[in-house]
Amino acid sequence: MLTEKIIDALTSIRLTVICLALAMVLVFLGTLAQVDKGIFIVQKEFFQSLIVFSDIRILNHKIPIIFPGGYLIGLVLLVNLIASHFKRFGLLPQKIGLLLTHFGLLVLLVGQLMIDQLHIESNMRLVEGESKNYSESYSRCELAFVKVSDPDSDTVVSIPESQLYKGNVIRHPALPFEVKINEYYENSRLENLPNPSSEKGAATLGIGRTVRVNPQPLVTTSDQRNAPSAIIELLGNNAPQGSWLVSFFIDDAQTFAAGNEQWQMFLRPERYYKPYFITLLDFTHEKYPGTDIPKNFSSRVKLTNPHTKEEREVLIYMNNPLRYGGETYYQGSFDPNDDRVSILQVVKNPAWTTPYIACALAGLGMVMHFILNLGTFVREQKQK
Amino acid sequence: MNKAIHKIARVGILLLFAAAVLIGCGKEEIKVYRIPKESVQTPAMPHQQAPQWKVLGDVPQNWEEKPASGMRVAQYLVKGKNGAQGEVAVMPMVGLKATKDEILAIWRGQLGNNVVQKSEQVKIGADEGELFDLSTEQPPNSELPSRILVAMVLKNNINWFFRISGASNLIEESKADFINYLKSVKITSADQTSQQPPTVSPTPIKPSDFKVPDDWKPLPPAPMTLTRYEVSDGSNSAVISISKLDGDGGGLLPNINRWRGQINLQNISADELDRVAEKITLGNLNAVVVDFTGTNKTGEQTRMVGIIAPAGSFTYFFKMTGQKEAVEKHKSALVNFVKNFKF
Repeated sequence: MLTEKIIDALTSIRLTVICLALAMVLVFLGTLAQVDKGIFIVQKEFFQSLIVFSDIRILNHKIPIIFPGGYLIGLVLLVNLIASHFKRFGLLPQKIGLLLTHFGLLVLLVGQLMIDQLHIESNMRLVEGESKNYSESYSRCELAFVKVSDPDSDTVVSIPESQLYKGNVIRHPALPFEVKINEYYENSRLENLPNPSSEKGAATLGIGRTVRVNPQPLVTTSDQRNAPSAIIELLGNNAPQGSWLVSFFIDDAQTFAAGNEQWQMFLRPERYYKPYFITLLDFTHEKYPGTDIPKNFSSRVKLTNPHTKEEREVLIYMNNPLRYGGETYYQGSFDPNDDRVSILQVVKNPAWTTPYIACALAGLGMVMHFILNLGTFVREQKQK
Repeated sequence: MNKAIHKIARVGILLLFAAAVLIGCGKEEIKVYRIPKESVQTPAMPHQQAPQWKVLGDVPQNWEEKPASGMRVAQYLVKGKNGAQGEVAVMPMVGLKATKDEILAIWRGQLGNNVVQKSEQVKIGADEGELFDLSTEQPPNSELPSRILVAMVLKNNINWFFRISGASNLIEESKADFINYLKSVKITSADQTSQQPPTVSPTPIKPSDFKVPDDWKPLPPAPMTLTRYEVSDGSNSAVISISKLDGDGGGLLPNINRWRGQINLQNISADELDRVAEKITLGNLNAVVVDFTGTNKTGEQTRMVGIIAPAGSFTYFFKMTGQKEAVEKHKSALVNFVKNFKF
C-alpha cells in the first residue's frame, strides 16, 4: 500500500507543478547568489547538486539557504514524467503524439544531465608562431606533479582542486610520495619578505622561503579568476623534508628528487592535453575605424596530428569554428596588451545534439497529436 | 497490466535515484597521463610567451651567444677570469600578473638566505629602467650563483627583464659591461629583422634521426644551428649545417633571402620564388631545394645548396656552403642525406 501511495504521489500532476515552481525559485535564488559568488560557484552549489546548502545576501544580510538542488528537481521531474506516462497513457497507438512529445522532454532532461557531466570548456592562448597540444580551464586548477626523469616522455599526475584542502593527505599509486596539504588559499597574492634573514617565509623549501602569502577575497566576476596558492609537504621515499609553496604566481618549475626520480610541481590552471598540436600562424584583429570596438577577429591556425599524419591550415573566425577530435575551437578572445595573441575557446560537448533531437521529437509529437485529434474532430463533425 | 506498470515504475525510480546519488556524490579522481617531453612543447605560462623579438646590443667579447630558448629571447655565456662562468638572459613578459616585488622574490629565492638587495636607475636603450643588485654570502650550494643583477623596463606594455647571474667576483667585474650593454640595447620585432635567423627550436634532434656520410666531419655547433659538419677534398671544402625551427621558421622567402645575403646575392621577390626554388618530395613531405652561387666576404666564388622541409610543427633547414667544386661534388650526398633523414 505504501508503494501505491508513493507511486500515486510520483505520478501526480501536482508534483509536476511543484517541481516546475521549485525550479523557478531555484533559478531566482541562483541569480541572486551569483552577485556575490560568481557564476561558477553558483552553478556548482545550486544547479549541480541534490540539495543546496548555501547563502544569499539581501540588503547586507546573509540568509542561509537549504533548498532542493537542480539535480534533485530534474530527477524528480524525470521520474514523474516516466511514471505518469505509464500510469495515465500506456502505449496506446492513438497517444503516439503525446508519447513522442514526452519522450522529447525526457531526452531534453537526460541530455542536459549528460551535458552537465561531460561538457568541458577551456581556452587555448596562442602567440603567433606558437604551438600547443593542451588547453586550460577557465576556472579550475590542478596541483600537477610531473615526472621528468624518463627520457622520452613526461608523466603528469594531476590532483584536482577538490582535493586541495587543509589537512588532506593525498596518496596515489603513481606518486612515490604522499602529498599533505598544510594550507590552501583559493585566492592569493605573493609578497617578498622585506628581511628574509629575520622573518620566516611561507615555506621552508624552494621559492617559498623568501615570500609570504597574502590571502585575498574570492573574485566572482566571469572576467577574473582566482589565483590560488598552497603550502604542501611531501612525505616518504626520501622526498625533501620540509614545506613547499606552490602558487599560480610561480611559473618556474620547482624540482626535487624522490627516490631515483626527478619531479617538478606546479599549481596551475587544469590542462586538457590533446593528441595533436594547434599552431597559430596569423591573428588578425580588426576594429571599427577610429574606435577600440572590435569588428572582426580571425586566427589562421595549422592543425598537426602526428598520429594520423594530418596537417592542414584552418581559418577560425566568428561563427566559423574548427571542429576536430570531438572538440570545437571558437575564436574566443584576444589580449588587449598584445595584438599577436589569440585566445581560442575550446568546447568539448559529446551530448551537444541532444537538445536538437529533443526539440525535433517534441515538435513531431505535437504535430502528430494535432493531426490525430484533427482527424477525430473531422470525423465527429461529419457524423453530426 | 497494472502490476507490470507498477513493477516497471518501481525499477525505474530506483535506478534513477541510484543515478542521482552517484552523480551527486561523485568524487573527482586524480588523473595520470603521459605527454611528450615538456621541452618539445611550448609550455610556458601565458605571460611568458614572447619569442618574436630580437634584442641587439654591444655584446662584450667575453660573452658567448647561446641559442634563444623558452622564454629567453637572447642569452649569453659570460666567461670570466680563472674559468668562472655566468650567464646573461633577456626575457620579455607580456600581460604580467605578478608585481615587481613578486618577480624579485623569485630570484631572491634562488640565491638562498640573507640576500642583500640594492637598486639604482639605469638606461636601457633609450628608456629609463631600474637595476636591482641581489647578492648573498650563503648560496644554497657553491655551484649556484651568489649574485644577480636584474634590470627591468616596461616598454609598449611588455616587461623586459635583463639578468646577469654568477659568482660575486664575476658579476662585480662584469657589471660595467652589463650596464654598457643595457645602454646599447635595441629591441626590434621579428618582422623588422627578417634578415636575422629566427629563434631556434628548443627541441634537439637526436643522433638516431639521421645517418651521416663517412666523409662529413663534425664541427662545433654554431649559434642557431643544431649540428654542423665539414666535408673537405684537399683545398676545397664545404660546411653543412642543420637547423630545426618552430612553425615555418620565419617563412620561406625571408629565409631564402637571408641565405642569399650570406653569399652577397640580392634579395628576390615572392614572384621569383618559384623560379629559384625547386620543389621536391621527401616521403609525405614537400620540400624545396635552392642552389645559388655568389661570393664570400673575401670575394671568393661560393656556392650554396639549401633544402627547406616543413615537417609537423617544425621546419628543417639543411644547408651546404663552400667552394663551388666541393659543393658540386657533395650536393648529391646532401640530397640523399635529407631523403633518409628521420623527420
